[in-house]
Amino acid sequence: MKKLLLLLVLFSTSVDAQILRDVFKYSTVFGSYTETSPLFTTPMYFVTQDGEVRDVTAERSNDYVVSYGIRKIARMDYENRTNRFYDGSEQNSSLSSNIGNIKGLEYLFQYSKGRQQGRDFKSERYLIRYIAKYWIGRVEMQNNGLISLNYKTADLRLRLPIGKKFSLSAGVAVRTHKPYGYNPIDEYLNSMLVDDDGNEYPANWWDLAYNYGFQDVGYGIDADFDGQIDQSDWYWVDEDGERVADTDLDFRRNDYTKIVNDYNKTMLDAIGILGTLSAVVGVDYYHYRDNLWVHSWGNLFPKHKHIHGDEEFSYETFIGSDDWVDYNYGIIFGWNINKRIGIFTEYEKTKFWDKDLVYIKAGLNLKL
Amino acid sequence: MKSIITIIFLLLASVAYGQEFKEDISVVQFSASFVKDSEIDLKKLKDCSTYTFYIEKNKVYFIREKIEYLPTVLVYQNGKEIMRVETGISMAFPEGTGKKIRKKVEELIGNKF
Repeated sequence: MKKLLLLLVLFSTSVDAQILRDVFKYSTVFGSYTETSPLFTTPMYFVTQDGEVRDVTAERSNDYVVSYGIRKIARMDYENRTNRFYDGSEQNSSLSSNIGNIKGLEYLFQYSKGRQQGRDFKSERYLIRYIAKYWIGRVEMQNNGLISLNYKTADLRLRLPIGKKFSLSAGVAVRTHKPYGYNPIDEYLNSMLVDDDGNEYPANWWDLAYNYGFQDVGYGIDADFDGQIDQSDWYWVDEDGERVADTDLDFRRNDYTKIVNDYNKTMLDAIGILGTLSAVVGVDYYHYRDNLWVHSWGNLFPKHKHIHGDEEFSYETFIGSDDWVDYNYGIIFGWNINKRIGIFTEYEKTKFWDKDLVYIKAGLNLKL
Repeated sequence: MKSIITIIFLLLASVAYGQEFKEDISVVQFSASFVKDSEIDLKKLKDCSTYTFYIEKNKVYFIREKIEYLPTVLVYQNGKEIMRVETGISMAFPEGTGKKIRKKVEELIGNKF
């Protein structure tokens, strides 16, 4: 953020005054601080051996968010500005679609940090979009610590407006992303390991646990005391010798899930971020009247090329083809049927790589 | 199903009605070839759509928009007339009309942010 502010200052001091006025016209510099009580936590009590009741409910400090930035994003006509001031929590539908509610330059530079439900986080979003009559350009970087979303994207398209409401576009988009489709633990369990004597053997799930310092100890139960073992299992100890699970199943249900998550994260982090260049075609439609509005958009990414990072882990390699279809589309519709009855719906679907996301909202308003 | 058909009909009607000059924020000058000298220069308005219609070619618009004086400038937003500036019988716009229109356009754009 500091670098960006520095760039902003350098930009401000080096360009023509008129250009500067045009760039910052209608923009808003904002800063806000929000603090709220944490979500309700169910009270928990512990009863001691002596019958004493102790309140062991986890104490949580207040949630808070500090946001600051500069923005010049036009709201669509159907988006009420519910708050008189920007506080960094705004969601603009125009950023989902390819066209906004104004032509020309729009941007958002926003930095937030805070604590939510006891977890510290920071989020950044930087976006620049330019909509001209016959072309669209957009670069965006988002790192949302709350939902572990981290990506960069750049999009350059030719645009064909059809009347004032339709717009077709086609061009290329670069998207950075984690290695999708690749599951390290799956690969591990299907791999061959080498023992101390140099012999290969298929990996077992417990081999990974050994690597994390856990050890299993076999035991048998003679349930009917007839001198024969009726049931056998393994209990598990951690690297300090502390018993952490009484059975394999108990271990797999608890500590082993953490091992798997850590292994996956470590392996994926080691691969790093990948970049894909994709062909893209898009369509947009926007109609607004006070009593009826439709805003819809769609993008199709039919052809791809891996351009950054380890190709072995690219999605292209994973599915063995460069012509899988990614897409996203959405529609926002509102209709005040008469002065008292109104209906609205929002639907958005995104299918990028092996990620499938859907958002739907629909409702009815009846003014009494 | 009936609602969907109604919506589609309304959408098609909005396109077919051919009033795209009223979409978003637009400034429209209704004029005639014999009052060209009285027109204001719309080229200075870069943040909105601008149109100039001549009564000799687009008479139907003049009737529909109830134009009484030439030239007349109308500012529209999403199909609604927001501002009307007429020349009157003098056939000359009041002083500062260009600035007044520019301010109105800036106000309408500013309301989007």
